[in-house]
Amino acid sequence: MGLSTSTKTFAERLEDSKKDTFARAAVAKAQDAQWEKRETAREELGNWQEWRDIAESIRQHTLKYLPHYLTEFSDNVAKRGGHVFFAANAKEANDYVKRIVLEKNAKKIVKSKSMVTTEVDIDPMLVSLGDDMDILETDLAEFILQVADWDEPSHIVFPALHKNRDQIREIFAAKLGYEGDNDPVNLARCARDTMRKLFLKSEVGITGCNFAIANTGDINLSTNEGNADLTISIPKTQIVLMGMERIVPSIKEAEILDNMLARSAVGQKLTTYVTFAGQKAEDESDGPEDFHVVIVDNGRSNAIGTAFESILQCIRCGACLNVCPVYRQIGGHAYGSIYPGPVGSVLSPVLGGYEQYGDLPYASTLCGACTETCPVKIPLHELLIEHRKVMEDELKMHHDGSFVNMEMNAVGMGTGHPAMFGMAVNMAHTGLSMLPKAKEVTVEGSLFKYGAVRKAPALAKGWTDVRDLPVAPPHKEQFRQWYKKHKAGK
Amino acid sequence: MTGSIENREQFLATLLEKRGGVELPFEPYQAISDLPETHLADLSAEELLDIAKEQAEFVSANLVETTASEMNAVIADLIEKSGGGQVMIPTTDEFAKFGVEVATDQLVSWKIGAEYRDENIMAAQNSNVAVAVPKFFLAESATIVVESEAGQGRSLHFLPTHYIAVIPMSRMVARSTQAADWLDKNKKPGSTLHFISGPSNSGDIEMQLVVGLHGPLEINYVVVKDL
Repeated sequence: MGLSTSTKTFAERLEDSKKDTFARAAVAKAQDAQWEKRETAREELGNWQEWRDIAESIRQHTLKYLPHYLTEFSDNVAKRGGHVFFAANAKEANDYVKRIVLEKNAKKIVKSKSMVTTEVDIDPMLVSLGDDMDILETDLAEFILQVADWDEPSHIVFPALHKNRDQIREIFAAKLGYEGDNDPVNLARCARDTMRKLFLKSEVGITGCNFAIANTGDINLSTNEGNADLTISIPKTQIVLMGMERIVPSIKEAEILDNMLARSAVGQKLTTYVTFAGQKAEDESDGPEDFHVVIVDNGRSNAIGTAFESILQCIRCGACLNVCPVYRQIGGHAYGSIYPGPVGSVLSPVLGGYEQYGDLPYASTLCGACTETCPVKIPLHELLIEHRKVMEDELKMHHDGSFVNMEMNAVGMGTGHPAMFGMAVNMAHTGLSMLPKAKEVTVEGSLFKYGAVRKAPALAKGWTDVRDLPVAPPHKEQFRQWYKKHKAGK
Repeated sequence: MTGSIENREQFLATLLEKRGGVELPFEPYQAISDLPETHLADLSAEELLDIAKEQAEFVSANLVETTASEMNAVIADLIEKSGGGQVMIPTTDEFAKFGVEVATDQLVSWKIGAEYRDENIMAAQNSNVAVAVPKFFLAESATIVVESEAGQGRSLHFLPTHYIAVIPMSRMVARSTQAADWLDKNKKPGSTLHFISGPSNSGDIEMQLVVGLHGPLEINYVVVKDL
């Protein structure tokens, strides 16, 4: 899977999403529920904007001095006997993990949910090591996706959002011999029993890392299920994969970001389990005897020193997904990246390039809701515009003489000059007025007073495929004339 | 015992190159606000306890208030309500310090020493109840903070089915800021910190909250007001 979750084009994925009515309803329900929880949690905290300023200052500081903190962190891990591997790309990260697993001759591996392990494709590599490999995704949602033949995740925080309880019951019945009903409590208890048995036999644990603590060499993990805690307690070997930007100076800054993360992701004051751990001390009897941290670049450095650097401030709370009107309509799978929604639309082209992810910055209303909700103040909608500028102005990606390109040039000329804009409006009105079917009012109110276009050509086709295009009012009532008249009369 | 670091120079050179080859002179992080320290800091212990009680309900934890003289009876009662069976406790002088005594004929202690790894893990797995004394109790989020070390391994806090945290009132602080500040200065090298707010839970199936997935199915906070 890696960063990419699909081989289909963006347009094909959109078509698939339109058909998946359960997933669309689930996303809408999740967004509404999370809105209430998130906003309540932030309101209870108070001074939210000041907290955002603090969080932003921490993230910007560590990015500014990233080499210093990576050096300090890796030195501290090594001092305690741990091993740190700096991986420039997914292959290097994979090869290192493979090396450790083979050295240990490990067959039973437990994993705690982590975006970066999915990004660098750890699971397929482990599966390829042999039929006798026993790999367990221990986060309930990831476990469901694994049991469902490694289905794709569709949300950063709720990866199995697109599956309903009946589908999960069927999957558990077929793959785990589950005989119970579709009650989530019973389904979860089945998963607990299955996973606990495997945990106790596990040889290697693989986790991500919410934050790495530079001055101690500890890693910080947040889960509500406690699966990461078991993963760092029982196996003798632990491998941590972390994006290179996931670093903070000390536990004091991690504490602030953990609070921001929990409130923004799930509306909690703190996630149920927030843990700071590393290699076990010599006199401890559980925890990893062998501790490995793989620090991953994999395209992140493409953002350093560019207009996109602030995307590395992201703490993966998913709040931007939960307010995005586009994500609400198309769902996670449509983005074709393990990072969906606004953050994915900015991050995916940085990590994977414009050829594959160049459509995503256009999948935005630019309403700014994502920017407004981001707990670390990433200017997401501005970065989406920046991506478009890079593609259009620097890379000339759509300057290929295509019909769409010519249309956009015409629009650019028409909107760039007041006189031409006035002419274009007049022409549009004259042209559109011939297109509506009679003067049928499809929505009550004055909006469609003059009718609605059902099937428009060219640029407007995408819109009219799913919506009506209201016809502009007659010339004498155009906004500019109306404004001039009312301004004069005031 | 020293570990290893691979590929660091090359990796950092790439970052330096992205910055135009200019290494910035390092300056430590300076907090831009004292909000984390001042938030809830003016509340009395009783006011903090009120917040903790409300929050404990929210995180599905059972909070019981008691006194030092009643504490052991409360613990015994909770063990009985949990169904009895094997009870695991840490090897620590904290129990003696606060007078915590667990009355049961199936008591096991976490054994100190790396050679007891499997024995300790299986004892935790086979225990119905664990009892521990947290380092801190965070009022704002109803969170206990436990520091796993030689005498109380990580598994003790996660494998038993029920969990009882005996919390001296003197260990209650406003929020994670106060705990993090102390731990930044005093954490034992190599120890593990667990901030635990109620039982394990998940909302992964149609966003319906399910309690008890990997960790204990039930968590009890016994707040001892005069300790």
